[in-house]
Amino acid sequence: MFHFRGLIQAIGVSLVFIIFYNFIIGVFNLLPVEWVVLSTFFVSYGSVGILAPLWNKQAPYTAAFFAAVVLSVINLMFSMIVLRIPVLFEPNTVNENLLSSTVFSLITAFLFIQINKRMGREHDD
Amino acid sequence: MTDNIQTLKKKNVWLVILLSIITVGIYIGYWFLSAKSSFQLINKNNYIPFKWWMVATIYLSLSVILSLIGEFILSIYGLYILDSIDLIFAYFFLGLLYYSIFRIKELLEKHDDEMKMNKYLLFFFHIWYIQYKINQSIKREGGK
Repeated sequence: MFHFRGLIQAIGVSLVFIIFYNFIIGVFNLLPVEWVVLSTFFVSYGSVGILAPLWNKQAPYTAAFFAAVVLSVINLMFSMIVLRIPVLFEPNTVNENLLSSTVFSLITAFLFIQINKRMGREHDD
Repeated sequence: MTDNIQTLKKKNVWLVILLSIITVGIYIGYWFLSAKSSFQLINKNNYIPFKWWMVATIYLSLSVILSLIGEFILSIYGLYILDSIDLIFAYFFLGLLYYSIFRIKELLEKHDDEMKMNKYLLFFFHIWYIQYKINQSIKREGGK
């Protein structure tokens, strides 16, 4: 069964991760802007790809997929409302955004599940 | 155990494929809703989100109508926004589709010992493959 609460938890913790990560990067000025954007993408969708399966063990891939889509929609809304960038005027960009985020999140979830399985097997041995 | 599977309707797989394509996905929603009572008979505690399928079917129907008349009532920016919103919902419905078909797989395999579904074929052919398997099961039971 799908746990909606687990999905919300994963998204919430991932958002906290992003805020904390960006705060550290921004305060210490550690990376150039391009790398900040790229690393934020990896941190946000990577964390959601790990946390969503963790709190939704019966439907891990669905959870990772939905969490990535919800996070992308939050990003789009933020761009529109706070930064005033009319992202919805470009459907191709929206598609690229959703596609890259879901694919990366699913790959992370797949790797996380495989590593977990292998570690579980080693523990049994 | 397989008696309840008999409540599922036999449908021509080619017709299901054709209708899914012609109706640009609306039929997929209808297929889930039409099989709702049968799946609930098989197991009352099934986890297929039929309420969300109702939402998806209504939204897809409205979206098709709006895309047909959109050019007459919306500006170019309105059409772009509509396309973007359609895309976002398409991703949600894609997630819903794959969640639902894998729950159906679990449900049917649990209640029909002879039914085995290939997860890769299920991934690529979703409800078409499920309908094919249901038809096979009905044929098998009918032949006994």
